[in-house]
Amino acid sequence: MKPKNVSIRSVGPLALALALTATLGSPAGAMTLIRAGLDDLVAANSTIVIAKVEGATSYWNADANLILTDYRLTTTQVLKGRVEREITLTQMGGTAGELTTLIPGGANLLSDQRYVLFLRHEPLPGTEPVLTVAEHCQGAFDIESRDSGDWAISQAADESLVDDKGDPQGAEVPGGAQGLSLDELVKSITALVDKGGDR
Amino acid sequence: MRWKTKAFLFGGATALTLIASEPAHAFRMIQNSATGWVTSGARVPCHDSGGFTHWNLRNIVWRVNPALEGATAEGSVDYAINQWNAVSGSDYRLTRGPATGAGGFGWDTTNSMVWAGGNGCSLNCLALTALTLDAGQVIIESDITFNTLVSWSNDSSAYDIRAVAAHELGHSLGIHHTNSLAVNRPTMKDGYFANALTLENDDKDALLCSVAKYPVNCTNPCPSGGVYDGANCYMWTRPPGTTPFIWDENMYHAAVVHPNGPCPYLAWNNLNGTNVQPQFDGANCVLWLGPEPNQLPFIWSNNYYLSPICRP
Repeated sequence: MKPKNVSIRSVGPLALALALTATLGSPAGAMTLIRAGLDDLVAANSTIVIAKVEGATSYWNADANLILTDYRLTTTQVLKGRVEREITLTQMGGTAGELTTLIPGGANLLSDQRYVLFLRHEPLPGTEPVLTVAEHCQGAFDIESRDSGDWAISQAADESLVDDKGDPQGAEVPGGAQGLSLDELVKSITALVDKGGDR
Repeated sequence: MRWKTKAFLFGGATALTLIASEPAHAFRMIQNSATGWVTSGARVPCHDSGGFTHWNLRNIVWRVNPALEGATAEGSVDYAINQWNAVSGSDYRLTRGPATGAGGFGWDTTNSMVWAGGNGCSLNCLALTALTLDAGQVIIESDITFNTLVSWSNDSSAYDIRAVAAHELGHSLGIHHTNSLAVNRPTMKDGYFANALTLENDDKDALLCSVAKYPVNCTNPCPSGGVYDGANCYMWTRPPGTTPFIWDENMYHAAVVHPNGPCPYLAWNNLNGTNVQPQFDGANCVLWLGPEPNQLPFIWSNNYYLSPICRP
């Protein structure tokens, strides 16, 4: 097959963009997590939703020693559990005044972005049990719109995860680094929920 | 070739050369550009223009509360601390202070390691590090919580406290997970392997990156009244005839029988010429109540000292 003619003008900017992209930072987690498979995530969390972040408020907890952030979300699909259309979840970390509590490895939630979220009620420092992404970056999947449709990528895709024997081999997140189609993820979650996957 | 094409090629080649000339380090640092929205941290290379989280001091005192794990936890933490202290070229000095000074998981001016069943680290979370940041991504406190539901060890089996503590301490120093794919995995790649019990060059380079990018210009390493003697802060000279001691990170001397009471001395001068009046607590004379964040009191040659918070 004859190689296609590719102009310098088209390759140059692309190569530069790729090289520059490689130097940029990317959000990721930094705690030590045991790899949770999709079945683990479904079983361990009472609520699974596809939701869009509408807003957030950070504040000091009741003990005044940790900053928490309440995220307001609109759910577009409930895959497990029963929740209102508007929900609030609470995460450790945030900025209040000049101080920031940073929880490396926490779920990374941005305004106007959609996510698949695995949620359950747990007490956080200085709180009663609250709805939270207790699995941290493993419990949040970014949703990307592509030509082929919506795609879901685990926020733990870049992480060093261990399996339950401390072995990293095969400790890949659901969908791997490339993610999977949102439809496929939803079907898998629904099938697991229908099987009664509760822990 | 047209001149525009030549110019483009030259420019592109120069840009790529500049990028390529950066050391090909795999380690990554934790960057926080949060304004209240982001609760995790970004992974960035050392030379990122946005900088990264770092300390503005070098002596960092950790207090371990092993209540829910057992006394062997302290020795395992010491092992992890010593790995970071042994990095040649780094002026960081991590110390484990007495457990009695341990605070909790959260901002209380004490860097604490605790074993707990909560603190946002449950089920599939082995350990979690929280950083409290001031403006400019300056770390002013770090706390680490270990999940008590996990079976911990100190014999290289899963999960070895030494390895996980070394890994989390790396995060407390502003280091993120590395991109390294080396066979001998860096501690900041995974915190749980036998070969992660010692730092690899990638881990050391990450710490040295922080040391070089954020040098500490320490003009006053001692609290008010203290005098830096080149290694520590000389605080007070003992009163004549007394024996000073430290208890629960406070400075004392035994009460001396005197017609005017047990702590009659007006005070005594330290090297800075400051007078201090000890107070009788019912048994001894209290000179100073600690603990001071990131400083440890100690007695040497019968005089009172504090560790410095940095080294000029």
